[in-house]
Amino acid sequence: MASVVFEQVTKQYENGYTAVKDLNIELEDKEFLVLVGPSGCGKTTSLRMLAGLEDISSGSIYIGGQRVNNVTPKDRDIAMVFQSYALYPHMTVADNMGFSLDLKGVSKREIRKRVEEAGKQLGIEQLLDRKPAQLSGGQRQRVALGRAIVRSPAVFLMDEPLSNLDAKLRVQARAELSQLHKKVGTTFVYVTHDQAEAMTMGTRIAVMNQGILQQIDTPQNVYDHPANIFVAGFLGSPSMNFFEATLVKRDGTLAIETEGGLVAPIPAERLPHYREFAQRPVVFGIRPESIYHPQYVPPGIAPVGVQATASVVELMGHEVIVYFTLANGSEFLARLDPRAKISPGEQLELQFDFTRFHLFDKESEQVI
Amino acid sequence: MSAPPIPPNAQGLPPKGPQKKDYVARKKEQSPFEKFMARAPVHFAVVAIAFLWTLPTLGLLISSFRPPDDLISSGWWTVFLHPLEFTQLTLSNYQAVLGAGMGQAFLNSLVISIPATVIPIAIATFAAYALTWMEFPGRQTIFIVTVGLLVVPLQMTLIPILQAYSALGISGTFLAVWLAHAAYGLPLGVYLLRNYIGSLPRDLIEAAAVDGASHLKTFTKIIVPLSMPAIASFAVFQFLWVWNDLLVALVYLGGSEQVAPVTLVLRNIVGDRGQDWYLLTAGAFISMLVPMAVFFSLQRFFVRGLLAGSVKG
Repeated sequence: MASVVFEQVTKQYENGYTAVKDLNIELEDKEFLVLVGPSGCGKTTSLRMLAGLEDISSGSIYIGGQRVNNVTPKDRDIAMVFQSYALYPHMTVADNMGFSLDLKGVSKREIRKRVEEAGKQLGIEQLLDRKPAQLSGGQRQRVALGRAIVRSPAVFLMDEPLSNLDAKLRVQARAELSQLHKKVGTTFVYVTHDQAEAMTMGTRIAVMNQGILQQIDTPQNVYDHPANIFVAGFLGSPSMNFFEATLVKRDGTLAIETEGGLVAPIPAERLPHYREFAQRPVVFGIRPESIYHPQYVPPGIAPVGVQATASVVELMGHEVIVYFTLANGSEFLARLDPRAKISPGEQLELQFDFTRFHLFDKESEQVI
Repeated sequence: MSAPPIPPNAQGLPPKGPQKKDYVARKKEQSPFEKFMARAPVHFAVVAIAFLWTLPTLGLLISSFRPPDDLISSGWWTVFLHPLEFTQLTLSNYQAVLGAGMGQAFLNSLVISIPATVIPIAIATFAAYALTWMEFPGRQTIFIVTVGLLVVPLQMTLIPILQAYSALGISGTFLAVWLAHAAYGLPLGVYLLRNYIGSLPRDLIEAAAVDGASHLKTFTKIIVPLSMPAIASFAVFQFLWVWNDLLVALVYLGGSEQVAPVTLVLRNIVGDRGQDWYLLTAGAFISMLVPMAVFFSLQRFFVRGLLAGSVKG
């Protein structure tokens, strides 16, 4: 039960490589923060600095208001779930879970009681006397989680705990972790490269790239209002389509003109934003689900027609993902209604939803 | 609206029934005899190598039961000319060896060997942990220097150490031999154990740290149990070396009967000019008993897959 603060935290290795640069995050008590980013973006390093497994080059980390830069991991009152689970192979499940309590000097009976409680909570009470080698991947993951729970720590740290599970278990474990967070009411810091985990579990998500925090906000806000091209392209699957474009002045208003021949006026409510970027190169971004088949256009959007040729059609059952090419050869993806029967080579006038597009400055890559 | 009739084969399955016989693997079906024959070269090679390795020991064993005169005049294989004639075998060699103060020698050897095995294991395991998982300046240098000591010939150290022992007044005591053996065994021990402990998954040590374990607790609760295979193999190495050692014991303990280990007594039995060498055959088997017992008792620690279930999915 504690807040977590990163204050201008930088991690630089001896060989000069900067893994994390000037990281500032303020986390309230009971928040579930998901650190997400591609591999090598510094998310795991940040978590390890919080855990005390990695030195901090400069800046400060506070847990519960106390500066912990020079506090050893064992005195930080944290629990960590490792990607590999890191179960002690020579101990039984119960001993694995009770290890931290044993070190604290809790009595054997109290340990057994708390281990059994946690075991029941996770549905592994019948496995307590087995060794890790006798467990399946999903069971091991629960034991690793149980090892963290029994301690009731101030902060839970998780380093990609679900990445070794198969797809079905992962979805299930995702929901269970969210429930667990509600039940124990503790601050969680969760590292993942899986955006589905980030979107579904976090109360806030922090997107990192190349050691720099790109954006931190609620999942919905990050998805709807990405701060820059990286965040826009990272979240969402299939990812956002980008087109090189220019803002041109036309009849006293502005219009967007992209490569491949999309020309459309900017909606009036967005005009004041964009005035200063007139005649400048920008990047136009639109998510695949904001593109519609001409026969299945829902009400309440601002459709703009674009001629395109279908090249590859991937039928997913609940949706169909189609690769299109524009007249100039540039490609994009659309996520269409499965009722639309599209065959490769077909020409369509797709409808782009102009209430939900994003414009980025081409130079700074920031949203405008 | 009724559902349209499902056409046969609608699920995209291959047609059932007899298929074309172009399935190549079928031709290669093996009878049990063929399977046995396919592996025969390997079996033959293994048996041949095992036989070659055991042959000298077998010869020594048979020789140890032959009377001295026969031993000197003919080879051990001549026994097989009359396999059922047991009068050509005798226990006299064993009686001669055991009658020469072997009881005290065994005791001395154990008194030397056990501490001389335990002390270096204890030191080397701690050192190996520190050299892998504790961060302090110069640890790489310390490791390299320690391992570099492996190349120092033991004989070079005899005189300076003996002088030091005399100055300290522990020359001729068991303590002197323990310390000497510990020091001679440490470089190899540190090297072996550091390599093994260094290969333990980092996550385990970090998990212990997060769980609240100090270095000492991590060492005793995690590292030592998981390092048993390496510790056991080093124990066997070190024990064998100390048990079979003659030189170090002779130099630091002196040759008196009260402290002489098995090796020293055996050498004395043979006589100053080696005239009674045939007694060595029986002596070898008697002195072999203890190392065999040590090996078999430590065998249960030589297990693979000790780390199974810890970090791999």
